[in-house]
Amino acid sequence: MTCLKMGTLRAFLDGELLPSEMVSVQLHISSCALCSEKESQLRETAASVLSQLDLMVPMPSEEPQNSSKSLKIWKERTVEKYSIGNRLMRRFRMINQALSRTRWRYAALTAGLVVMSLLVAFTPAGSAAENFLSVFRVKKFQAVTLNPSDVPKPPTLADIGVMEMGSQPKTKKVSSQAEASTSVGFSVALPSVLPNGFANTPDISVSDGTSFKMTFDLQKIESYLAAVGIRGVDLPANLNGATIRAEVPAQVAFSYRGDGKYLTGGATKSPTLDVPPDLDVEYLREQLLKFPGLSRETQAQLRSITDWKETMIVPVPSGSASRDVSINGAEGVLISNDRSNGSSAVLWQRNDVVYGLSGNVSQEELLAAARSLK
Amino acid sequence: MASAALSTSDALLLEGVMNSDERAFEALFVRYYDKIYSILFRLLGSRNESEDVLQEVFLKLFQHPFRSGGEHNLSAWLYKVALNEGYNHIRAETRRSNREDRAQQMNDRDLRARQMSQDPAQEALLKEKRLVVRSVLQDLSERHRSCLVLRATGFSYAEIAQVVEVAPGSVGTLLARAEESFRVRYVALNREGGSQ
Repeated sequence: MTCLKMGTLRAFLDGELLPSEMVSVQLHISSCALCSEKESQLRETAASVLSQLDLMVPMPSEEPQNSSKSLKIWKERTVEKYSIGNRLMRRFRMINQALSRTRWRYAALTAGLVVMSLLVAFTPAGSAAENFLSVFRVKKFQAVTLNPSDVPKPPTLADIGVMEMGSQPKTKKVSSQAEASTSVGFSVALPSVLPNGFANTPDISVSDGTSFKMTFDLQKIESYLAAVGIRGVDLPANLNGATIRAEVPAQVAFSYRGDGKYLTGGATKSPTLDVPPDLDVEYLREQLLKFPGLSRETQAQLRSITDWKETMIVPVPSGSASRDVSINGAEGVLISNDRSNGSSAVLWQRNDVVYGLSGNVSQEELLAAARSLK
Repeated sequence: MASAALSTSDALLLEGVMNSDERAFEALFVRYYDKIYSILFRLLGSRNESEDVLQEVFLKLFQHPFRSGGEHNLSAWLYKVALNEGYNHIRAETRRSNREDRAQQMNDRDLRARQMSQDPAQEALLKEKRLVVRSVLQDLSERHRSCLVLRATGFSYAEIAQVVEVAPGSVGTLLARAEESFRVRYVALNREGGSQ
């Protein structure tokens, strides 16, 4: 038998040969002085190196901590609770690595943001808070005043593309807070303080989640922009067919009745939005701020959003007022319109659940009710 | 072998991670935590640094755009990342610190903080020895370093082959050479440092 290779001998030392090979190597070594010598040397070197490497072994006090603890630290430190914004940013980064910085990409984003913001902007007067086109995981709210005259003719969905609903959400009445909680998968809270004259017998209903898909139609958008005289927006071909997907989780809605007054509210786990990976949110923001026709006030409000990915823009038609409020430490926004029936709405977020409450009651009563949710 | 079943569910979990399923990621975190920590400790010899780099490794997992539906050897990938990140950390720490002040090189607040330790002299000695090992490992080629660390951590030749991306039959040779490199370098370093 020819003498053994170093690799074979080394594998032999570690028992990493087939059993038959182990036997034949052993047999060879016992009859071959050279290989026996080589084997000893390898063994000695391996042992001494291992003894050094064994210094790099945790002492009792250096043992790893509990993996759940480390995971907790990881979450806190790294990803800010897996917010959809960060998930999106992760996807953006992936694609950004692949794409080069070309002019058309930024133009696409511009158009996308313009369209998206227009979608959000024009809700029927007086029901801003109830109209959820949610953008990203909501941690904060920023009211943005938009004057219909900023854009002469607001777009309808038909002007932009095609909207598809995933499945028709099924709504059903439930008879108790507990039943509602079970249905929606989070703890449902109801106001314990109600305005005068209200009966503490709410109607509660739950609906299961659904999703929406918005697919942009380039031709329609271009026609719309031309029709309203917006120039300077360069729409690339790949906007055509680009799809945004929104997931709206299960929701609960409740309503109370009083003397000719109403108080309704709802809660939902934060809706999420999937946008095409080449949508650069930061850049979109910059473009939106340059959009012609935005009043200074609107620009200032938009500029004040620092966590673009975590802030829900709440459109407030001019004629309504809004202010920041605190609901037991959670940041929220209160919107009120100054029409004679005086309705207001408050939106806030806690622990990834978005809450809303509205009614034609006084602001004080509304806030008291909101703060009494449990 | 157990790892075949494990790697199937690895694939499922990875799919979950790509679909932004938090629980899938958490399951992988918990599954690989101990092994990754062991590998890193072999490289770094320090608890704090091992924990820090471990966080980076899992961040890389979270961020990496695995192709969906593709064949991924997740464990090999993770171990490779751990070895890379560990090495990068060593290099960064070495660059950062003053050569004369090697005591600074190991960010080991734990060891320093434990005043109640039995034998501070013993501790200091251990730390110094670990620093030498770390330096030697740093000077080796990537393959040699990986081989040694993985073998010391208890990986089989087959497993090492997957991480280092060589034929399983080549691991013996690689390991033997790695050990020889280590030995030579170790002797040289000790000679250099001897006069201190």
